Amino acid sequence: MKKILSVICVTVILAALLLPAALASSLPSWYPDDIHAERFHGKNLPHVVDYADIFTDSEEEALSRKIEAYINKYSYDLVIVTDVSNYGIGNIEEQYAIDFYYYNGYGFDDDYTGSVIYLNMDPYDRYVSNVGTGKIEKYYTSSAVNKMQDQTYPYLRDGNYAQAMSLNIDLIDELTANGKIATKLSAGDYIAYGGISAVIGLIVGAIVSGRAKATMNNVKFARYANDYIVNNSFKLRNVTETFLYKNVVKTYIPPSSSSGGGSSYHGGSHSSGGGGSFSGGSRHF
Amino acid sequence: MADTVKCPGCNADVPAGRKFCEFCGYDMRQAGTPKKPESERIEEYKCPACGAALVFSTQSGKLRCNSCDNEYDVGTIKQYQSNKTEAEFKWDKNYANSLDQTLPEMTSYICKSCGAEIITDGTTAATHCPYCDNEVIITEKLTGALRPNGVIPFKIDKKGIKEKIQQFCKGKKLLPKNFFTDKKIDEVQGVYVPVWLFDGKLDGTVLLDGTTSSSYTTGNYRYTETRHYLIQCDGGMSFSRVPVDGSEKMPDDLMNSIEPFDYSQIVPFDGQYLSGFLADRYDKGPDDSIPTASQRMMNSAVNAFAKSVPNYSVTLRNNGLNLTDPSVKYVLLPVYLFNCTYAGKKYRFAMNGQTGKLVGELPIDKAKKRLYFWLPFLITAILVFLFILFIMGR
Repeated sequence: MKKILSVICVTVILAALLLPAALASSLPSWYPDDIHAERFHGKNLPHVVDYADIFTDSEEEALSRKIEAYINKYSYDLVIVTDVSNYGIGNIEEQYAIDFYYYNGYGFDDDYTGSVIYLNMDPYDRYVSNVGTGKIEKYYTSSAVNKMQDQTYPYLRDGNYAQAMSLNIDLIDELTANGKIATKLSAGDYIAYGGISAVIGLIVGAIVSGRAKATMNNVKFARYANDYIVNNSFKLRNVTETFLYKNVVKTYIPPSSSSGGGSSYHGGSHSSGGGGSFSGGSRHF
Repeated sequence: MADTVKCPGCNADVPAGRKFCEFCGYDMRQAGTPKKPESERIEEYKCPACGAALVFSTQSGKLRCNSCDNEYDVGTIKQYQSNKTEAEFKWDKNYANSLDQTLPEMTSYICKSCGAEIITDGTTAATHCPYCDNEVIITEKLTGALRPNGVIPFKIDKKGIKEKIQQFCKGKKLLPKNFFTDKKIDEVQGVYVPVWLFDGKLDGTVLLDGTTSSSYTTGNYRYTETRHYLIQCDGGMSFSRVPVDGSEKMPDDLMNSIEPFDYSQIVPFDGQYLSGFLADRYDKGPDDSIPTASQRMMNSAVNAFAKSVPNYSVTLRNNGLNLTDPSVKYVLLPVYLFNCTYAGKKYRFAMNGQTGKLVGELPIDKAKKRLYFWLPFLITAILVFLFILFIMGR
């Protein structure tokens, strides 16, 4: 009996360990058999695809409504997709988002314009990807993606995924409307910038008033008698330079620091398996 | 224990048979010869790099530092040990022979406040001291004063002063409004200031400490290498008519600042030049003025030598310059002196009576000073702040 129990236990443990790996190594259900198949415009596609099941029904509905409003406003597509793994698709983190968008027929017009937000909820590799294609692709610069993810990061880190996605939709709206995202400065930022400006102002003020003050007094002791050297009387017969010794001072230069907050950014322009062009980036949380 | 002999140079025990003392480099082959007097013994030399005592290396024939492993030529170290940066030259004290003791009849005034002794000819009356603006009193006919070798007569009359003052005020942004008005300018006094003119030629060797610096980066470290040299410059230069004022009452910085005078216009002294002007009797003789003249001459000489080695940052280590052909002359130079009173404070100004160069410290309008600080501060701070916001918002 003990032997049977042991076998069952081992089997359960192995299954628990190997099942996620087996799932991860396979491909998601939407992934096509023929990755070179002709691109198409899908119909009645959902705009919130929650494979990772992180949104409640009401959250999903609210996000969908917000996306609908965005689509009606700009006629650009927008989709949020979550999953428990990126299934090892491609060699960049944005590849899941790119391929999901491409192979499921998202995107408007001939250039399939639209944005995709992907949340990878793999407990060992959580990250968010923001990707844009078509007319909106040029706005997905590293600066814009960074600013977007700077603002959503605190919500993602704290597990407020719906709030993060709602904010992300607003930011994509701003990006679509203005072609850029304004930096949101905190009170601390304003104080720091104000301090820097004040210090530079003080230096300039001191230089300007110091220069004006210096013209007010032209009385000074004479240390030299250069005016009284007889013309061409200086004769230099010989100069000897003898080396004595040398000092070498070694100063440590600290390496440049990378961005903090446990996040990382990867970005740039990429292609889907079928050849479409995308821009975007990812950040871990 | 091996046999040792006492080093006559430093009294250390040196193994017998050694040619040189390993501590002070004394030639032990002379150990049997009579001990040299203290002043001729080999001195203890210190390493220029770390300050540790140097010992003579019989292998290299050089002085070696066992602390930092540097080696030096004995001659170089002897030069390096010399350290004289003062301007002490031997001036010929027979200058009195070139000065005339006969002075025409003059009237002497004494300032009751600062003690200045003012002289003038019999026709000019002095009522106020040109230095402190207080009353003066006639004492007696002047006696025992030296006759100046020459004088530069006033070239600018008092009417031309107003124009010079207007030029002087141009571009003075902090000057109080209407500072130079006739009411505020006290009486302008034309004064002949007694000045000693020194001639001489400096020649010899100057030792300079020279350094060069270079830096390079390897990995995470920046290396800054400073190389130290002993630079020996041989040469010389001549100076003509280096002025030092002979009046204790005339501020040296004020007199320095109205230089230079055109000495080609010096004429033999005649009492008629004092008509309408005052003259200060020197109260600082040539002996008292020599250090000032020597220092100015040496500074210029060292500066000229330093410019001949432009690749080094240099400081003076040893002044080995000697003075030849020295001479001193006594002249009177024309200076206008006047005071301006502002906010209860007197400001003194001097003008070169030959060239019109005007010097002095002007008062500062506090409101303008605040404006010249806070306005640039505000404009700069606002612009920088907006610029930062623009950059961060991109």
